[in-house]
Amino acid sequence: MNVDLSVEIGGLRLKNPVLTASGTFGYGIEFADYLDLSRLGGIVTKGLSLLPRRGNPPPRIVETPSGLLNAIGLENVGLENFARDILPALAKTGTRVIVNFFGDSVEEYAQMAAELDGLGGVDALELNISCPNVKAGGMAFGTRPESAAAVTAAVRARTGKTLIVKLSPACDAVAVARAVAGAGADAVSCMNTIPAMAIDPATRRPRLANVTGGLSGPAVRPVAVKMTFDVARAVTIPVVGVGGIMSGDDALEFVMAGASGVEVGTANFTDPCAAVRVLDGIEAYCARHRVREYRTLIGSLLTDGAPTSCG
Amino acid sequence: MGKGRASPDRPAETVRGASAAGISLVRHLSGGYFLMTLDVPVSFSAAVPGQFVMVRPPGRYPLLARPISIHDCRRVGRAARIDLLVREAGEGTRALGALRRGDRVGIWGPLGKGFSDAAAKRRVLVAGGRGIAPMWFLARRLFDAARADRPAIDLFYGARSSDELHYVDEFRAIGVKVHIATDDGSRGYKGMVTGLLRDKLGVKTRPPRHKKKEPAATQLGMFDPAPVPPPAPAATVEKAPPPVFCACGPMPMLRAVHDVAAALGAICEVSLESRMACGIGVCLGCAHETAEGGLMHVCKDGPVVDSRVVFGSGVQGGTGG
Ligand SMILES: Cc1cc2nc3c(=O)[nH]c(=O)nc-3n(C[C@H](O)[C@H](O)[C@H](O)COP(=O)(O)OP(=O)(O)OC[C@H]3O[C@@H](n4cnc5c(N)ncnc54)[C@H](O)[C@@H]3O)c2cc1C
Ligand SMILES: Cc1cc2nc3c(=O)[nH]c(=O)nc-3n(C[C@H](O)[C@H](O)[C@H](O)COP(=O)(O)O)c2cc1C
Ligand code: FES
Repeated sequence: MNVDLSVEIGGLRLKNPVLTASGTFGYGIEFADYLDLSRLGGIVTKGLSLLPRRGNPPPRIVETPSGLLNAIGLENVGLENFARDILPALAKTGTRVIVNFFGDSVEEYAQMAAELDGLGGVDALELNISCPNVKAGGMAFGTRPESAAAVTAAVRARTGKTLIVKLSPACDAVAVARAVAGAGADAVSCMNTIPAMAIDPATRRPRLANVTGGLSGPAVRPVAVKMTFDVARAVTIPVVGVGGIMSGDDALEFVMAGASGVEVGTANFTDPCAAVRVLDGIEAYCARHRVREYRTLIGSLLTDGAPTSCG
Repeated sequence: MGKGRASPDRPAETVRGASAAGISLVRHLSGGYFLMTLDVPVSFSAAVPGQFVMVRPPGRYPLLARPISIHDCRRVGRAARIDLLVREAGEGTRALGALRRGDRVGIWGPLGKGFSDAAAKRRVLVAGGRGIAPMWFLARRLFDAARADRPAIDLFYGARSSDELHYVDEFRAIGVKVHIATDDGSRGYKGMVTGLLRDKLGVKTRPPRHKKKEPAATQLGMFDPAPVPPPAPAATVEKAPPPVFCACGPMPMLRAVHDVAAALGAICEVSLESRMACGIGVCLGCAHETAEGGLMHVCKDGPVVDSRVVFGSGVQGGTGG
């Protein structure tokens, strides 16, 4: 059976709904040895800032039950190096390129947006206002509806490209989603990592040099599905689901909860071919359940009349 | 950032692959070690000593793969076979050790930069504990019959106790001169392997200075793989060119080996460890501070680096190790 997997996210047409999550797929081209990049719906890059950033001191990662705790601190090569050394190759991979970016101030976010708007080969932008591991530039903007709307509006004014705003789970996500939708976002992604921490009792020390970090992986999936479900019902713009997706069935949880597309993150570390396996899983599900158009699965959750408010 | 850069003294990154590999042997050894043999695609046979693989048991737990050095590697028909020598350190390595012949693991590699292939009349290998793992592959390669420049190899091998020493006879059988140290004196020299190394080479390094380097705040800190200039020969060198040192083990040991090599004006290559999630340069989790206050990524810029990259170009004192 031929399944139509295509989907549109805020004006951006994708051949299929599977994207890679920022920070888990490098700048994309590193994976060319492992999978056929052209099969992906799109690649979301590591979060970029105007200038290169060093990130946090090590240790930066530790495994926790079914999860990964990280405090990378947004280390990245900076916009200029990306545009010169990486983008030309990335733009030729035959998939959509979505640049994730952040700034230290509203002005910096706006300047980034303006420069990215002028870059050929960049198909869409993902605005990170939800990183738990840096003081400025991250969650400081994303946890209050007013500041989230202000950053979104400033960025919207400088770019006509599809704008996805990435939300934090550590706030009233529905209120922030409504605020950024009102400020001109074309879509939202749910969610960034959950602020978290782990301690080594043997040494009485935090396991990360940064003391706290962000939790990702299968451990966070139910939180992300619920957030997707809540946000998808609160806004009319499309939602991208992200958090702990390891398989096609995991991805479909988000889709049924209301997501139009999905991002595969931590799974890329457990298997460099994970994103393609998720895609294969979605396609197999569609074939098995005689779903001709993937799009019809979006928000297709059956609750059989059960109340869907908090319980 | 895509493909690794080859430099004259370091091998280029080789073809990589990701797949499920069948286990053809698990042999439990004393001291909490096990040897695992895996049937892998032929692309793994391009591995060089010092490179590693990311390996993960099947199923959902543990979540992340673990970095493990290639202990040996050979081509078998149209495929390849690699050996891993692992010490059970925690849940991830224990889960690997619980697997049986016929089970499958997720694996990708060979990864990172290995020991350089520089010609040297004499090599001194120094291994602490599980740091022995890559040394077997290295010694075997250096002794490869096809090579005209077969060097003399001394292996200084330290462990806590004699039950944690493995393959000593095998090293001797291929012609490696093995010098053993154990913390408890149950075999060989009693004390640290670097103490034995200093004794045998007649090197005295300066006492520790305990100076902590502050990373330069203004420096961006990306690792610059520009080649480090050759060390200035120290006043103490004898006529014969100094050996090339290759070390793998805990950080204090690596530093002490670096100090010995620096005192002799010798090249020293050390294999670093860091927690890793991806092994392929994308998670940025394996960052390691350099002597200059910058950052390198152990999985891509290492794990084997010139010791001056992490310890600077001077002798910093012979602490613990
Ligand atoms: C390039 C490289 C090559 C390696 N080769 C080998 C090898 O050939 N044989 C072998 O037995 N081990 C090797 N190691 C170490 C091995 O990866 C760790 O022992 C393993 O990841 C620990 O996982 P765990 O779940 O068993 O233990 P955990 O419970 O995660 O940790 C146990 C202890 O080890 C420390 N630790 C955790 N991860 C690492 C790490 N990546 N490096 C160093 N310490 C760590 C923890 O802080 C803790 O103290 C290598 C490491 C690297 C980076
Ligand atoms: C190591 C690591 C680095 C990350 N870096 C970024 C980043 O630069 N920008 C961003 O918006 N999200 C970043 N994230 C968050 C992921 O994109 C994703 O939202 C989160 O990990 C949840 O998805 P997962 O459970 O599938 O990984 C990072 C996550 C990890 C694990
Ligand atoms: S382990 Fe992921 S970047 Fe090195």
